[in-house]
Amino acid sequence: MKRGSVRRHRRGIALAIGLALVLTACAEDDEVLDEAGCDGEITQDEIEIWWHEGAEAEVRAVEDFVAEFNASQDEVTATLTLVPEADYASSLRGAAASGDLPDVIDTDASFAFTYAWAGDLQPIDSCIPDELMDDLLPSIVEQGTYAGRMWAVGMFDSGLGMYAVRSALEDIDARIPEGPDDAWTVDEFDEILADLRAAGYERPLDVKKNYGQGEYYSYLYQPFVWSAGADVLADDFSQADGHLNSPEAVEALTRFQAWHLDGYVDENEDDAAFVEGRTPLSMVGHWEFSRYSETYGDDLVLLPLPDFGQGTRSGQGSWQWAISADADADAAWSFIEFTLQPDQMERMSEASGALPARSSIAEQTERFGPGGTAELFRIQLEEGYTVPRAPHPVYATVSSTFNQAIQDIIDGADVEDALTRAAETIDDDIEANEGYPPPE
Amino acid sequence: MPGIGPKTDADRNAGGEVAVSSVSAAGRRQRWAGLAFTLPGVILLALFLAVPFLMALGLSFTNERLASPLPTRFIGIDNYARTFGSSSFRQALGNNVWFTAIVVPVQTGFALALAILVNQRLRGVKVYRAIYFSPVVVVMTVAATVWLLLYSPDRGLLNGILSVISFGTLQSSWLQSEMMALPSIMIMSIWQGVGFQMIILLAGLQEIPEEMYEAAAIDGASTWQRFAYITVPRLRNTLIFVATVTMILSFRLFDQVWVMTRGAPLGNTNVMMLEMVNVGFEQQHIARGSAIAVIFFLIVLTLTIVQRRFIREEVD
Repeated sequence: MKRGSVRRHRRGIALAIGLALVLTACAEDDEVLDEAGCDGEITQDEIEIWWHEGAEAEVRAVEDFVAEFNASQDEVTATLTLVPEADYASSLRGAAASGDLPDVIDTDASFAFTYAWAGDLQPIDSCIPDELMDDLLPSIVEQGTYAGRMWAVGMFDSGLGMYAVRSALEDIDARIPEGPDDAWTVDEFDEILADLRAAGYERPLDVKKNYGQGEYYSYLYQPFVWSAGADVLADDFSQADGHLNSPEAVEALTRFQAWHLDGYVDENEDDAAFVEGRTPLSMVGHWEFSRYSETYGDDLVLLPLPDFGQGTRSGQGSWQWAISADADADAAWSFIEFTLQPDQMERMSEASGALPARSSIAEQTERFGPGGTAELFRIQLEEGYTVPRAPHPVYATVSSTFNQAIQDIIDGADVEDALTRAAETIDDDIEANEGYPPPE
Repeated sequence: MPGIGPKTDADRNAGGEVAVSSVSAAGRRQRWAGLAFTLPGVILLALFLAVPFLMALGLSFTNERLASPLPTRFIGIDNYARTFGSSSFRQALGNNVWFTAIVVPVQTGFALALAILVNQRLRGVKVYRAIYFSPVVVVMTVAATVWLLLYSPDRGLLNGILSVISFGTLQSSWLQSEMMALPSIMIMSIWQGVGFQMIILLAGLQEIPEEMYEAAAIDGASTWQRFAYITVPRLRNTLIFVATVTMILSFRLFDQVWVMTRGAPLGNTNVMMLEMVNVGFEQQHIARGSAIAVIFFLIVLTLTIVQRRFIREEVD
């Protein structure tokens, strides 16, 4: 009898401990948004920086910047931690969830706003001097702004294009567009695919299938939706249903699906479809420009993506700096500002192949400046041919569901079904988050 | 109980008349020793299994998000309702059931065949044991990456061989084909897991006394009869263990799918664990992910209990 009661007791204690743990787990995380921003006074002498370990040249540039920054002044010491790119998003998510974000992070485009909304970041508009603000590409400002505040700033911006072998296009008498305002229509593009196949290219289009399902799908294929005159979300980010699955979006992605189902797309398992000449067309971002122009020289031509009805559209936005809520904004900003100086920005552009984030610098570079071989990327960004991925905390869900929908469409799913399912998942998420009330 | 544990000094020194009290002292000491030895294990299990599970259970009734400024609220069974209402969860559950229904019998059968094969007294048999066991030692993500290359439609070894032996008529797009994707993962999983089961069954086989087979042989039993009436009944407990473990592992299917398909094509290789990561981590609905974890736990628990009951009854 006595034993039984002890045992029962013990069970009660275990249950109590368990419940207590559950309750404490629930009670955490009511963080108040830190409105500190920059006040011109540095109060922290050490800052920790995270950078995604992606392209080697970019990593080396960031390492150099950190070393030079530390050598250039003695107020703030920066330490850099490199996190493998494949695990970067999950590392950030984990660190944010446990309140361990470093002072300065870099995030891919709209992912910063998940953290901004959650109160893990602080706005940086009070840090950016007017002169710099005026010089930043409009796309950089647009991509860093949410709820009327600026939360992130990049050293460079990105762009998409259709790389083509000029001679292959001339052989089939295809029209070669001059710029973004006379991009191929999607009908024209379908004909070009068929003509190229007739000319001996069994699978003439490379869309970097080897990248697989991931953020790249959102980056490359949301522009098709925009180009068709549709959008992924309502203008106020409150709803996806009726936008992502609108007839225009369905039509555009059905045309895209046909390229896959008709076998026009190279698997590109070796990531060399274009450079080995299997495909005379490769739809991809600015980062392939160097490799492709080394291979083809003057025979390479950079064209806008096909126009699905309302003009060509390209993605924009890339990795950008943000400051965590707990950091001293002035200390963190002193490092970020260092990387936005002309010299650093030029070197980073050299390393990444991307467009410098300041108009004054972008226009001076040989490649992106007027008449430059990759001028298209700058024109697209400056003249409104690019659309940011929804600068809103819902983007994390938009991205993962859109990527899933694209994968399903490539695999032959009914386009309208796939997009409707994605729209419902997104709307479900918006509802579960009570419409993402903006931070005060 | 005397005689089980090592003899203590008290046992040796004391005469018969004090045996009763010294035994109970030793017994108490043994109980403490037992507790002390199990304590680290119990603490670790509690800390990394029981507590997280209880937290998941608690979270599954709230609106908790991975990163959110919204206050955590109790929302009842909404997460469970939405989980069962989600077509991708139902598809994932179906895939898990289908995967388990095929893999458990096939893998156990293969493991038994291999165990019998390597249980023979042949020269170099240890080499074969090592070969069959080697996939188990390979980290699953590495094995999955290798199979990803084997299954590659254009440059994969598998299609290469098939095309040569069938003069180009037999080809499959394997992981990209709606019909073949899940079977492809089954094949790969069986290849990777069968060696472990083989080793356990081999240990079971070696427990069976040689004399039983000799006696059966003298009685004129055929090879099949010896297998059916000696090997299988004698391996019964081992086989039950192997089948149960394989079933649990089948439900836990994740690594291969994560590396090879991420659930594609069209959710045909989506499984519950993947759904949990997608919902809980990618979409940051940690509460709904927790609900999936709880559902998953209950399903596996139920199946394990049913399996054990079912098989016990057969004994009686």
